Amino acid sequence: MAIYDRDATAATAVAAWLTQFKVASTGAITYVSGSDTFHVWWMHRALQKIAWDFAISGDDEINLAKPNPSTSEALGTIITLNDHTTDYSVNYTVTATVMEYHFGGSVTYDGGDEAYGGLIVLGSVNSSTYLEIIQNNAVLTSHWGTGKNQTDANTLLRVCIQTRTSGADIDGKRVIVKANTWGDTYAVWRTTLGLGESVAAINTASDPQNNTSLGTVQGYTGITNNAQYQLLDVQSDGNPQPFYSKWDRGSNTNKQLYEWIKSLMVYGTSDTIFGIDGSFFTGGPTFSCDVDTGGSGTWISNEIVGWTESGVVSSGLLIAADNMTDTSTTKLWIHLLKGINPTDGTTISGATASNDVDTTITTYNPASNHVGTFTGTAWIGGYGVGIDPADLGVNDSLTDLDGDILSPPNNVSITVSTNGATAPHVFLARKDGALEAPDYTDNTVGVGNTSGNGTFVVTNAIASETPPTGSVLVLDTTGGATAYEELIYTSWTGSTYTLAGTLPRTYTSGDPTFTPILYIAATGGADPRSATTSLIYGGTPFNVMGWVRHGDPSSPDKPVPISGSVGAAGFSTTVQLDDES
Amino acid sequence: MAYTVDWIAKVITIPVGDLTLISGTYYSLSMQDFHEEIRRLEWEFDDGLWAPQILEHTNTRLDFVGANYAPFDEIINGYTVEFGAGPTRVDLLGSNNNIVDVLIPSGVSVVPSNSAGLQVYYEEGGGGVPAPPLMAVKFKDDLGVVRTGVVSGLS
Repeated sequence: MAIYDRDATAATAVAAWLTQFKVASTGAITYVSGSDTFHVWWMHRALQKIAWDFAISGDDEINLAKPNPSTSEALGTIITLNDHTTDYSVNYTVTATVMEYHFGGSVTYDGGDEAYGGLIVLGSVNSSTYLEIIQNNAVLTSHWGTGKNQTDANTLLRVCIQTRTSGADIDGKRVIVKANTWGDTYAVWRTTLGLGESVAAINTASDPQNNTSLGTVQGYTGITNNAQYQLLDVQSDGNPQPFYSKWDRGSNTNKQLYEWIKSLMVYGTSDTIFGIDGSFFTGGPTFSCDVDTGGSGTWISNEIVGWTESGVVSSGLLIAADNMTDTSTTKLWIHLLKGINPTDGTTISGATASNDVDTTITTYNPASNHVGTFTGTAWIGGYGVGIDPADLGVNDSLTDLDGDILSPPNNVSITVSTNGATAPHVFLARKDGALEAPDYTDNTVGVGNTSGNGTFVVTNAIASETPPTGSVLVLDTTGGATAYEELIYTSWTGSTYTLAGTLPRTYTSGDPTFTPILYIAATGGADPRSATTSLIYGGTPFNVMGWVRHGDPSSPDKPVPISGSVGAAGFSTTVQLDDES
Repeated sequence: MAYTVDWIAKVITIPVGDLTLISGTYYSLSMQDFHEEIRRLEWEFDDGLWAPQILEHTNTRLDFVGANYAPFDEIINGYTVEFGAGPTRVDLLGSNNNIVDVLIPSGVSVVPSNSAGLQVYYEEGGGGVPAPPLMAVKFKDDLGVVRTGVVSGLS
């Protein structure tokens, strides 16, 4: 098999072309035999050659008596086959098979009603890669395998794709090129073909987080995806943000989830993602639009929606709607399948719902593998891709549908382990800034703390590095208290603790309070017993101090002081309690 | 009954009910009971788990060169002790302690019965009249200052 590029030797290329194809007296060009491939220039040159000859030769039936077969423009990359039906009953045409053996430019015939456009895919791939070409929401049948007409080291593929038939463009001559090879990074390129040769760029690399066999990954169980618009509290701040999915890895690891998602889109399978074959999915929504003027229906997650824009019948996959009832919908996120994006005033319709586009269209380039980047230890999520917040860590970052990058807080563990006693009690608090003592007044009693209330209000905002549950201690100075009183809280927000019970008395504003980090018993059936809580680390280490005591009168132990610093890794210490009886 | 502690004023109140009647208004206090009760109070969530430690306790030293030495109980961190009304004399039994030093006077006579044992006397001022010196020593005082002294065999 030889590849005759534009700079091939003319005599050799023309002779080979004429051997491989037949030109009938009607002008029909058909494939005969052979496996050589030709730049479209050599089609033009071969036709000109036989139209110049006085006599026909071989299987070709054209000579000087026939009208001009073709014209060439743009250095031989735009070939037009002439239609002389009216005057000569000769119409130079090609077949799909003929065009499988050509590359490098466009070929137009039937008076422009039929056309092939040249496509060159540049770049590099990590391993042998089957490039998929999607046109008009269909995967084209490949005759190029893992590459064809690679005329230089940076060229993966050069082919001609039919872009127009019966006088109409095929999906506006748009195509999508995809590289989804297992073990490699994925790549997607959208381009519009036309006259000459259009470029698509595809680059892949080895994916170090995708090194498990496909069969093994396809055997994973327990991974789910809630594929619709939803709010996820990624930052654990009570302010959930919008995403169009929530991947839940179940009992699997993050890497297993990552590979699972890639397996849904890999070349050669028919798995579905967001309701469509993974081959057609390019990673996520390609545009969003504000909408108004709803109909009276309900959007369905991942339904195919349609619209007509400037006469172009278009369709897409509904990725998310901020409200499924179209009378209340204000924004839609759509994955374009064919056609063009809508504009202001265009009506988008689903099975029952419809909305008009309201001015604003935002386009996106979603991550080719949908989920984004997984570094091996952390996620850098693709636009709008949600992951179960319970599966996220401080080093992960997700981008919500508003485009905001969100990271979970650094929820660090605070653990004091004890040996030697069955019921030790642990006290740990922030250290006073000046004294070698706990800070016994990190806040003061707020207003409105009336006996029987289920909440306890303090004056200043509760420190962000406060455990989600625990105890707040209050000294009823005004009431003559001789000790701090423990109030157990189950949550807090702002400057309010929600209590496990109710306030035993009315507290006076301004009296001191503080919130220990630990004020609990170490538990466990055997040594080491532990007292554990967590808090959201703010990034600046802070000192803590406290003690472990065991005062069971039957066998008291010597109190053990504890101190240290809470940092990015939290705080952990182990103490040994010694009998004092 | 049980002791009460004003954790803010740092006052430990021992009620008469927790003393052992000897006769009339003459009582004794078991320092073992005292130790256990203080440890309980320091340990309870609704008492003084949050508060600084009250008591530093040193265990009994048994059979040390043929002798048994009583434990030490030292009230620390500024706590004080008072006895409930009624007793005129309370004997503190079972440990060497500093309760007399932190006692809030209320007319009761407190008898600590501390052991003199092997003591260290300051050379420069204080400490009273030393017993016949047996040996010169260096030691650190409460402030960590190295001092020179002598030890006496008085017991």
